[in-house]
Amino acid sequence: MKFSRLIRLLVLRTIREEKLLTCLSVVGVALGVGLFVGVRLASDRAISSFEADIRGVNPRSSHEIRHTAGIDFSEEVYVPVRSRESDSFPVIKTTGYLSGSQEAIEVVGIYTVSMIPFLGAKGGKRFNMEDYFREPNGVLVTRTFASRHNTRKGGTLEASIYEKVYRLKVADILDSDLVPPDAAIMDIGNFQEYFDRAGYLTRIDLATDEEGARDIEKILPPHLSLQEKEKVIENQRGVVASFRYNLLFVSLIAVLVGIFLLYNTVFVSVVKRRTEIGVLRGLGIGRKTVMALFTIQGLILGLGGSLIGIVLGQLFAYFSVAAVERTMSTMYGGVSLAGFLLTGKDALGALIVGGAVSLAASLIPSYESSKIRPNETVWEGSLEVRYRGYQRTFSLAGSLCILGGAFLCYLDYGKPPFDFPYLAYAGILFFILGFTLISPLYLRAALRMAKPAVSRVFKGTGKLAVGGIGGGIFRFSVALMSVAISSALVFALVTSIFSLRSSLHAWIDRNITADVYIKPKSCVSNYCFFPLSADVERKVKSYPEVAGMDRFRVLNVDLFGKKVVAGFGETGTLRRFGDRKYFGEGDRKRLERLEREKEVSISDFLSVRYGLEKGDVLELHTPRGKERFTINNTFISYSTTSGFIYLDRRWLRELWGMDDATQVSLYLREGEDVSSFVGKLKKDLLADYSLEIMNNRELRERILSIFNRSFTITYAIEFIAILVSLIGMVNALLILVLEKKREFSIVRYLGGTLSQIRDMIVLSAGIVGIAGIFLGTIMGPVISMVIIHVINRLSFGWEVSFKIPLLPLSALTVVLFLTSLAAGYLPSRVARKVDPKAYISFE
Amino acid sequence: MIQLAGIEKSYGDNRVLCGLDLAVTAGTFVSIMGSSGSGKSTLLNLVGGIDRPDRGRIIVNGEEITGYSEGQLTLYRRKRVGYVFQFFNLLPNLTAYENVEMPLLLNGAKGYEERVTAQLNSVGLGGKEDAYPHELSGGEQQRVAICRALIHDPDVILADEPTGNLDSRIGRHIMELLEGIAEGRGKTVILVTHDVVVAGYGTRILRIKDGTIGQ
Repeated sequence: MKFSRLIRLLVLRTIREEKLLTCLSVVGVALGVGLFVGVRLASDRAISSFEADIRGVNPRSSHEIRHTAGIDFSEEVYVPVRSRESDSFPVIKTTGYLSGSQEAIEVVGIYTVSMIPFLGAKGGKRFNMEDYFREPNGVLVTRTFASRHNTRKGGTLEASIYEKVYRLKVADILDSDLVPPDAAIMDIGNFQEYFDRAGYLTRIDLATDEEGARDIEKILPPHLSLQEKEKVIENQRGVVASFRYNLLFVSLIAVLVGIFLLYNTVFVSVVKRRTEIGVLRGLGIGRKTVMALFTIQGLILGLGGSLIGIVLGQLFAYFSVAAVERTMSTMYGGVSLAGFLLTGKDALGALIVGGAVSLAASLIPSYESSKIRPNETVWEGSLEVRYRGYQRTFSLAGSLCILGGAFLCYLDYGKPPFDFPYLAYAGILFFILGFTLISPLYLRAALRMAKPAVSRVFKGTGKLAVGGIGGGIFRFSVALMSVAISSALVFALVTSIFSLRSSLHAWIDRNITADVYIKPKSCVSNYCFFPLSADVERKVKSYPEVAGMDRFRVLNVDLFGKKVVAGFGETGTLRRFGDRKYFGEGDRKRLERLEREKEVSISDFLSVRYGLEKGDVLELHTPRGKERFTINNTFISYSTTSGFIYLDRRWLRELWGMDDATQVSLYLREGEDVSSFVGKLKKDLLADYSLEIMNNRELRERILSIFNRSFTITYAIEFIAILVSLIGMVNALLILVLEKKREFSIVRYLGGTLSQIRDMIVLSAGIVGIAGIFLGTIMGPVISMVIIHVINRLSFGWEVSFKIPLLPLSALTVVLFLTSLAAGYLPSRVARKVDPKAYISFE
Repeated sequence: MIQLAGIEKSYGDNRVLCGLDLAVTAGTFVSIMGSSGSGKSTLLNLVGGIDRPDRGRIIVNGEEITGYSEGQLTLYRRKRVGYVFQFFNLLPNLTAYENVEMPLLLNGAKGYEERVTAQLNSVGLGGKEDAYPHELSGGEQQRVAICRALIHDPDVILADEPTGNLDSRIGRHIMELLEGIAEGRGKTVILVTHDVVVAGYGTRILRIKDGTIGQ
């Protein structure tokens, strides 16, 4: 048997004949795959960027020495380290922000002489050493960097670095793959001198083995730690994993809707070609061949969609990279994602997703096709009749899936077995599967309820519409589910975002209580480790308008083998000047104890992740050794996703031996005008320093704008979900038209008008649309509750109060309903073109 | 030689064939008549390996096909049976040529292009190779179906009301074609019909009544 010719005649010919259906399926899959690819690329680039930064320029480096608190350390330790391991490379680095584009730039100071072989790695090109060493601000940048920031050899870059604005001169362009693409390389001597960081290092890279590492570890002071690079990378992956997987999961739902589309198309092809399959079986074609042919049809559509999805993915990636870069910079520290171009690996990934999707979508209809017996020639409705017999089984299985989903979510809520909410995600998929299996029963019940009213209002057209849907319950259930899933996704996201925003407002009211906030402009993340200079602090404190100043410092601390942010504040100042409206007597007493006793407050994340509770004892590693603190309180923190510990500054001085601040909050004297004071501060300080000076309102607005920015991708996903559901609806109605051509012809022969047929189709769209949206309103809040109380809590440790945004949801329901009605337009145009003679008269 | 012995077949509570016996010598043209629902098409489906009897044996050229597996029956239909239907059952997206070549394609035949064209020419469809079913008249479609039934040189041609959907002039032409096939090529033709005139083309006419055969 020439299988290729069979494919050409029986598969490709069908695809060609069913252009519109083919196009709709392909576009649906393309949108889903495109979104998935775009989001995946952006989050992968973020990981690569973090990895490139950790790996450094020297590919041989296997270990690194860093300060346990995440800050720079004295270079004195370098000499003894080098005496034990000659392959050691000191590095000092910082993140800055380019003045024009506001994009992140990593300025990396390296010991150039030992790194020369790696800098000209591609083609061994020699770079302009003279300018690089002679100019104190000379930097080397990669070609990617130069092209992205539109600079060239000899050009200058202006950036906020530490707490000042600096100019960097591009000494040469590098072609090395080993240099992180967003980095500007400086000689370590120039770096320390130019940025006034003499005597400091950020890390020491080492190329050593385990024995060498153990040997070096012995000479390190307790505040420095030596770690394998691979382990550091693994930890970093873990830190951003929640953000990454949550995005991927949401985009996967769009792929899921694509599966429904494809399933519908292949399913309809099987139903439509039932006679044809019967004839082929009669001619001697085997079951497996029939199944293979329909699977191939699904695969061709899926892979076609994936190919277009790759192009769309490239487009989505362009926007996703920017959105992910901003969000990650805020949450996890400055990151610049180099490049948004898809690689061959990304494209292959898209094809694999598309292939898997099409296989999953076409397997059931293909199996169905293989069950068609050679003597089956009556095709209309016979499959529906057979499925009707399974309805109870489907409904029972659906109920079990929903219960199973609830159980999985409950497991992750109560005692999560993993760090990541895998069970809750599986639970959501079980919910969707359960509702899908129940949907035929649901649609049948909905039709039974709607029939009297629809028949009364729309007369014959209404009866035909209800009858049409009733005759194809299983196919319309698929359309219904594509609307229901999209609606549920939109409702769930809107509800989750609304709830989070409401909780964030409450959090802002409780925590943003000072009048003025000051931090280095180069710090766009929620927390930075570089301190404000003593000069800035002194000047600020000297203003007579200032009644109190809360000097705040963050450091990293190790807790259960993970890096956690520790914030040291002046609890006394907070207790005296913090907003009385939100501080009750209990709060004040807690703050008092924090100030006087050896106590800490921890964020909910630590409570959820490690089961820590009020009264428990927490052991922290400090430069003075292990210290035990009693947990005084747990609180909500939306500023980190890896846990936060609040301590009084006293412990910073006593245990860490430090007394600087990374940001300060000012409380002004009663009656002082905040705006004019901020104006005065800016005038006095910004001439010499690059600082972010905000009043209370500006900071609140900044937080909300970061929040909105973080959900840019989510809004895009919502839009695409609505689009895919629209396509799903058009697809289902088009199928109705294709199947009912003969019925439409009879209606025309009986005197029915074209507008009546159009009304019937639009009415069908409306009925399925309303039923789907209603199911979505049930599924959406359920999914939203899982997102808020399980996924969000376990991923980010954020406690959020569940709130339903009635007005936005009502507006969205109307938009979705109108979208469903609009979906009836295209099929009704196709129905107009049906020639009654062709379907009624027979020779 | 086709032999059916003690064939019984029911669909639910409806007993269609009750202990039917029949023997058809190779190369004969047998017409089977009967009223609607008498079991004519069921009998044809059983001989064609499309359906299985509840009881009884069907032996074709010495081989009992009732014991065949699904795969063996598929091969049997592919190689040894040619079917002609009342509603032609051509594949709508394939041209006349492609419809006729389908059995050869399924049998893995090679170099059959001239054979297909010659087959179409022999029924007066030369020049219509690229026409799709909807571009052909009913008579032409049935002739394509006959070509498809013959192209792989099967032992037996089964025709289910082949003229039921055609006017009398074209129906006559189709019957002469089938008659020629039986006489000229020595094929066994089993035709079921309720039309006396059409049945008259057979060398042997049988009546099916109450689930059994009578002469």
